[in-house]
Amino acid sequence: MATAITLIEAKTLASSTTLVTFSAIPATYTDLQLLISVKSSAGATASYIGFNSSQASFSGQYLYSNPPTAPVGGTLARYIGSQGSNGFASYTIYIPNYASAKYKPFSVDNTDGNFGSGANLNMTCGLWANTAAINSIEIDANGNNMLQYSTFYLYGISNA
Amino acid sequence: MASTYEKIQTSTLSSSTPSVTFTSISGAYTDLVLVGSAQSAGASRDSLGIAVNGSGSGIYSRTYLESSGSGAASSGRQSSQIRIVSDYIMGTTGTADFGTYIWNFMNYSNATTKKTVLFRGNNTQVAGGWNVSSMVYLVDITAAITSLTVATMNGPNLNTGTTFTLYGIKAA
Repeated sequence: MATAITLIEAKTLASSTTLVTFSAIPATYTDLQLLISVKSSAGATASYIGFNSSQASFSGQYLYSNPPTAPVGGTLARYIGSQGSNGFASYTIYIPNYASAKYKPFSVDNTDGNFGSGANLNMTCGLWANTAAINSIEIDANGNNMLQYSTFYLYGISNA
Repeated sequence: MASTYEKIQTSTLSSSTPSVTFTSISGAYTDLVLVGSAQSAGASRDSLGIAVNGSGSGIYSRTYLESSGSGAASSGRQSSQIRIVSDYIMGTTGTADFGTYIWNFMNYSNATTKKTVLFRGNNTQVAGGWNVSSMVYLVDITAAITSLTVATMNGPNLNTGTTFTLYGIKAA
């Protein structure tokens, strides 16, 4: 039986950059999954996502846990989580039906990778209220550099 | 290299339907992943429920962590649940909203241990009222999981365009 998951593209940063882009994403899969390990030059910072070079028509909800403080929620467009002041943050981003003619929801699980004071947890849902197929994904660290050795893996998942 | 992540079954609804059932699930995998995008045919918000092996009795217990809007998140534990329930993570008919879901069924085919399920669900509604949910479920059965039935908890059909895909993960 054919595998249902295929690596579309892997990126390992050879030098710092403020924006990582996956472009020309084929529409041949059902869902997309993006796995990220990243550290920012700014230390603690938020991270954001864009589709098709657009930052418009996004909305989102996050759930943030930073023990011993009680978990809190909030709304923030394009937000996919945070990066800590040390260590590499991890993200799992799932985008179902990315090539459909419907609005595009996405789901994110994130830890900021803080190993000094304890890692924090972010769970996020987002929506891009646009019916265009997603053909590019942009990741940024709120204008800060993402450092060398950060990795970004984009997978296609097929139910065909 | 052998494939470790395979599609088992997929269902895309071309008309509204009371439920989607995956039957005769092979025991050939190590874990199962069920991915869904669903909308209720009803106009009121609803939840999804999964019956394992057709059971609607109180064999499901859970710990949940959820957030909707701003402020404190909610968490808790509940036992004797009648389904694996998503808690109001669902789009409603007449909107562009679809809830998104991922369930992980661990070691589902063994016949000696009770089954655990990890769940992540989201509903990001265009008009607001977003939900983020994470849960762990314990299913009080030792039999292998061979069927999963997904339906709304309050009765309306699953709407046209709803999709569920069941994947199998192999450790060998």
